[in-house]
Amino acid sequence: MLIEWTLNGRPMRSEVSPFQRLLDYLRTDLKLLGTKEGCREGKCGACTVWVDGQIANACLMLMGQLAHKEVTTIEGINEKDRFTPLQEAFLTNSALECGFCIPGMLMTGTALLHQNTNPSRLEIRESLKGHLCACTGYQKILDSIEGVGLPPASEGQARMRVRKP
Amino acid sequence: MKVEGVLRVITAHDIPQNASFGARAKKSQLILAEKEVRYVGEPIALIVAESQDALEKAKDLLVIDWKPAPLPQEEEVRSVKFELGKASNAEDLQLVETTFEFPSLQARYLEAESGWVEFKEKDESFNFHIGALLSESQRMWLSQVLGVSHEKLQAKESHLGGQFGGRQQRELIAFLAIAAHLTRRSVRLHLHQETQDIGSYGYAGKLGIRYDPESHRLVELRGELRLDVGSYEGNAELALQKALEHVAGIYKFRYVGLEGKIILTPTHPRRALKGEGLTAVTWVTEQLVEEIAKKLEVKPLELRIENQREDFSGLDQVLEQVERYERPFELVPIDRNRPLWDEKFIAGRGYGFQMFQPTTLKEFDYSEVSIDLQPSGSFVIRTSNLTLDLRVKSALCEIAATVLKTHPKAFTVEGKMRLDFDKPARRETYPEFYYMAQATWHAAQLLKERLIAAGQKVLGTPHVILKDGAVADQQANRKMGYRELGFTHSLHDLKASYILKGAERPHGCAAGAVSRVSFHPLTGEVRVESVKVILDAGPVLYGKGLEIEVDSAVSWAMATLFSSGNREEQPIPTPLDGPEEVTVLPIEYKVQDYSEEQPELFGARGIADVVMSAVLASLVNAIHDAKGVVLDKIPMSLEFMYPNRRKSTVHTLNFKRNQ
Amino acid sequence: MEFLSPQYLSEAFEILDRRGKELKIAAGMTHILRFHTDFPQGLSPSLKAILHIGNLEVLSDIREENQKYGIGSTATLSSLAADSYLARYAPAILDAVLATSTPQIRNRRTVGGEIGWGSFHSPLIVTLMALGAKVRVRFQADTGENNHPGREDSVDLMEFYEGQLERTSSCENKQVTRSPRSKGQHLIMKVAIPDEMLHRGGTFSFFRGLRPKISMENSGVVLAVHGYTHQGVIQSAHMVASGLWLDTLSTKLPLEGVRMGDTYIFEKLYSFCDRYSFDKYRREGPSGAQLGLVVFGLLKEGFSHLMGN
Repeated sequence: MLIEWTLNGRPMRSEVSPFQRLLDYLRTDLKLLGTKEGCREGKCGACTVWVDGQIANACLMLMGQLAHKEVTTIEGINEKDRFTPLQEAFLTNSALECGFCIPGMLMTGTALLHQNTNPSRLEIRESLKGHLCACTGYQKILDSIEGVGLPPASEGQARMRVRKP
Repeated sequence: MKVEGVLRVITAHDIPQNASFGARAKKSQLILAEKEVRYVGEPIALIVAESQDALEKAKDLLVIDWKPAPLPQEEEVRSVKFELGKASNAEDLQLVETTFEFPSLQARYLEAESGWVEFKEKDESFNFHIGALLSESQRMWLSQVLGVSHEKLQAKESHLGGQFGGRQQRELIAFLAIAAHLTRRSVRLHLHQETQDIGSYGYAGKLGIRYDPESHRLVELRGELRLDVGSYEGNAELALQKALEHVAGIYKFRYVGLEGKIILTPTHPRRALKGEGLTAVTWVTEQLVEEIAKKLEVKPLELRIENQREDFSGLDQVLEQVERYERPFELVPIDRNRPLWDEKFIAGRGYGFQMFQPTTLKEFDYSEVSIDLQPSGSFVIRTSNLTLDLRVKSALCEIAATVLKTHPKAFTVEGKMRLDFDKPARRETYPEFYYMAQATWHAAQLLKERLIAAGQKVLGTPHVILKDGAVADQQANRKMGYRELGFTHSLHDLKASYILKGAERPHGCAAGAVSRVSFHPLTGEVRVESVKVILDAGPVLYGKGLEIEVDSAVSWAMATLFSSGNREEQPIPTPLDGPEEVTVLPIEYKVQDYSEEQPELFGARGIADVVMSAVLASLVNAIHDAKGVVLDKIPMSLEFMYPNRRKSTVHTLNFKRNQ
Repeated sequence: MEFLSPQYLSEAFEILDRRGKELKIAAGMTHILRFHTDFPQGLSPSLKAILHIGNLEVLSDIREENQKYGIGSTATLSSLAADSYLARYAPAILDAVLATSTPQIRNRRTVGGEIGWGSFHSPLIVTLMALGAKVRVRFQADTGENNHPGREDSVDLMEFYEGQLERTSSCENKQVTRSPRSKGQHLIMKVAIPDEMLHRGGTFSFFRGLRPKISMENSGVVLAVHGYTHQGVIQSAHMVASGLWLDTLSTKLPLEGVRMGDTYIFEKLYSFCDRYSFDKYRREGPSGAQLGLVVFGLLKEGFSHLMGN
């Protein structure tokens, strides 16, 4: 089946089985490895992409559903030669350990910040509900999204996290 | 029968040396089973094919000649006794005891596409692309398995994605290497989640504390511990030993008498998980201590302070600070006279403590690190490990940046083979971050001195310091950046390397955790309200590392306690599961300035294990406090959470209708 | 297996009429792909095609018409949550949607898909039931003996289901869901809530659910309440509940004549839940008596929130 769609701003014409999952097509056929396969059930969020600007699980989408849709992957939000502010924040805050969940977290975090430049911690938690991280305990990921644009905390100080209302 | 697209079917006798997975145990798992299999799912053959379809076809055609040889449901392979002190026959001692179960945790690692290896025909070399570490010792092992020189084995780390510390790592690199070696092709491996069963060791047993109600002394600790390791022993003996040594926790007992057994069961072999051993037992001891405090009507912290060990000075401080930070928070007792329909949240608070005192290190060479200043003004840190994950890398950058007074972004980290360093190759075990961090710090200190010396030469003055990423002439206030220094000075001088060896005993670690939970009185829903961790981890350079350990410990403890236990569900909390507040309060130490004498090691060993244990124990005790029941099994069963009807008299309601 | 993705509704009807039982009708695909991880392998061999209606924009409208508020079956759950009219007049729907699964799923899952799958733990289904929603369905034409064209019909959502359906997949997933009453092939077109359920003065509604443990994705109990007050006094209150632990139950709450804001509401509800025979509806999990406490707890939270506590 011929599917016409847009990927990271580029118009695409893909001759593909409509039953192939978007995740598999991205990774196997297009070699875009940033979108990860974690659970294949839409529970872990590692495969999060944007479809028409909204976050979605690539593991739960078939190519047949993508006619005339606009898909953005982590490769599509990367900036050339530098990190985005949120990526910087993740690095500065040591928000990643193995890093497997991070592309998904970045897709959702970036989408959230596009809609709301100053989300509360609860809003961030709610938006990340579809993500699992087995390593970090999330606090630093939340700190990063909350603190984009703020200077990093200095070393060696005990961190008392003060909740925003 | 040939199947198109299938390159090779590999069995045990095809492997040059079908080695065991590194453990020195009696029953060790081989890369591919030779004569017997001990669990459903044990690998016996590798099919290498050019497509998924070909693999599926070949799998269906594979014929295995086998006959059942029933294994005992349980086989005890090792028994270890642990005793400290002298047993007492005193009759006026009282006893609290419990059985306990801490099951195998199915971590269900999320990464399916585990890696690939690039095979180059020209020089017959292998370049692994995998998510986690490839240590020197693993490379040596692999070179023996394949019968090739270890120089042919390289690794290029993925930018992201990990195997969570390499739990299935040996199998993965072995499978990839053997497949590539025998087919002379580059090979990719994809593990299906259904076939991953990375359960941890399962613990069960019985524990009892005898105490003197008069003096409030905890006198004796006795118990039994069984460790279910699955089909193969692996490193279980170490885990069991560690568990037995730590059952007593932070308490001074006159006598500790424990027996531990390693049991084989015909199931998937287990692996160690975070906080292995310590985490499995600490929560049991801590609950018994709380029970004793209740019986004696003594504050739980007071009882602990009266009975603490004296061989770790930081413990005093930890206990004191826990008490200090938690003092303002008083739980309001439930008013039992409230009407049934107006129940309030049932809150509980719990404490958990644990400590780890590492032994003195013998002569060893653990890590070699070198740091070079480039002409561009940035630095390259090279470590004698081929791959490092992002967290380790960023931690090393932070350490070097602190010493060299610049930004962590000025550094890149490369894993290298030992042979690429100045010093001759040495044996190396699993690369522990602790030692890499030490070596990095020392290397950075040495480099600092050389930078200052270079700056003195170039600036023509002896009064030179490092100042915010630059070399500055103190008196004339002339400054030059690292870039200029790299450019103008000989690069041979602007590097330093350090091998860590012959270190004294590393600083131990002690942690105390306080958690508060609440139960909805009607729906039974549990919420973790807050977790505070006070810890003594020695002089710490990388404070964020402590926070990360605590955050991770809290998440893991919640998964351990509150997961459903259903295999279909991931036992990992989501960001919305809380808790709201996680506070990390390290005991502050001054990091010794570098001088003529080698400073003490900074940081501590065993932080992750100790923090895990303390946090889990504190949550268990908070539940214990709220529900008034000893939790003898983890995860907490759903039945435990269902609401209970409070026995009470029926209230006569005095009501009036509003017109 | 064919993938049929018509551009027009008439085309979809034509395929439905012609191929009927050979079809699996789907829009967001989230239920199906999650349940059948090896999709399309493992589906029943009698299924020959997927009728994908996700691109039919005409079915995604959310708007008022004919004294009803209509929600097209291919409207996503997140578009429902973003509808300002519903947020104002039926906040229970907003709460129910936000309690459903994850944001990623909500962006793709459709209202029709949620109703069609029929989970007992679906927050949206009980809420729509409590709001008296009707489902508009297009049935497959009968081209056989009876030879009548495809007909459309409106069915009360409460009457849309009958009994249970045991779903199994080749990957050994199992789930028991509600079973649609109609056994013939049909296409859900829209859900409509009568205006008077939303606009009548003094209307109140809320949704509450209980997810007991962190790794349990699905709720043990979900419930929705809808009612009316007049001059601050409750005239009627109706509850619909279901969940992993409960079969669908629909019942009046004995709150007539009680002033909204009077804590006497809780005494009445407690007494009601204490005496109600939840055992009859119990599917698994806690005992009937414990379910009574859970339901009371959720009702109490819901009413407290309404009362501004």
